[in-house]
Amino acid sequence: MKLLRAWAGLTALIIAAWLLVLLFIFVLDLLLPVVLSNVLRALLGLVLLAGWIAGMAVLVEVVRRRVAQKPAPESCAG
Amino acid sequence: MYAALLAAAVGFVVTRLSAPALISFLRSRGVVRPDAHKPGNPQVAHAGGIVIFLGVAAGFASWVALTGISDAVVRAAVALGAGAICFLVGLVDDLRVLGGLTKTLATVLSILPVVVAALLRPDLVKWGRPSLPFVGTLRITIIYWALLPLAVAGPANVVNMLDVLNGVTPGMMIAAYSTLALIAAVTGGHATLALSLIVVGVLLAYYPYNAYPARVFNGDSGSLFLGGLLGALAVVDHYEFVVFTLLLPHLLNGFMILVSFRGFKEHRKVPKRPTYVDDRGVLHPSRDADAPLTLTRLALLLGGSATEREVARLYFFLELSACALALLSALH
Repeated sequence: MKLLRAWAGLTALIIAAWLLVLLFIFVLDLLLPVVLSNVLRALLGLVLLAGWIAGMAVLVEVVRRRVAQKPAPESCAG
Repeated sequence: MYAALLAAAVGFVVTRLSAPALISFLRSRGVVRPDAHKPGNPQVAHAGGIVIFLGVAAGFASWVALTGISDAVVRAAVALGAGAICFLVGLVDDLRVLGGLTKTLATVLSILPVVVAALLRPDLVKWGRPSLPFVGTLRITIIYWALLPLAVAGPANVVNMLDVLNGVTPGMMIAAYSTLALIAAVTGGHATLALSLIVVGVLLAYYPYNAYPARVFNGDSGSLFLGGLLGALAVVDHYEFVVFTLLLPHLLNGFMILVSFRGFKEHRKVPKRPTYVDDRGVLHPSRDADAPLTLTRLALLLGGSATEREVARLYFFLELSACALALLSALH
């Protein structure tokens, strides 16, 4: 197994997810103080959260469909 | 700090001494499962969570004996109570298999000790304003309440979903709890510091029994307990984002599985496997377009086929990446 290659790929994925969550937090921090009604704030927060989850779900589905077509790297195991 | 270190030492010794006897006992009672990633599928003792829980309970008891009752002890007891519910759910599943959805819903109940504590002692357990990096605290009370049922159940289940290879969960959890202990030491989270050190002590003693080739599997009792406790500490001591970051590899894996399966599914009932093992014990990624995407399958696709030990090592290094991000989040 090419450990470094797999580690770098998965770490890049983790950093991307971490940055996306930070972006979500910044958007919440920017938008929530503008909305005065508590109910609307909650709704906005939940809509943003649902949108973020849906976006991640689409991303995973795209990756899942693409990886099945990708040729396998040369194995070093065994 | 010294009391917590002593308690961690007690946890280490109790685990080291009790593990061989408990593993023999589990084998003698037929609590075994086949090791699917080894040629010949040898039978391995199951429900190693009993060893972990016993060690943590002993460490916690000694910490209480050394420090007496304090606010930190109460907070730690609340978190441990939530972890204990996860442990019991996992133990039932280890002895009598539960459905995927049933198990997930049962772990949601583990938030109850935190809710009761927050209602009875709001001065001790506060919520609604999570501590977030770069923006400080954010008032998101309603969203917080909406997500609260998942605060313990989520971490518990995602750690359980990645507990698929020998040594992965204890190895990754040693790194995660060590980082959390370091952050708690710097930021003054006494309950989190003590329990994290105790868990690290216990897992250091337990790791050789679960490392390749495993003599005992953690079982759901082990993985749900370790994940659930991490989630409970996040809520009780406000390390929400830190714990979220520490669990990013687990969360990504869980998310991939949920999206691939379009819901909760018990891993024994998965029709198409994401990976397969050859006669030499080498793991290969499935090439089936309909097979679910998991972190292990993605790792094998990126790095090529590998032995179980190599993938376990990769996961440990991946957890170190998450630990670095967690440190950056906490100490920015």
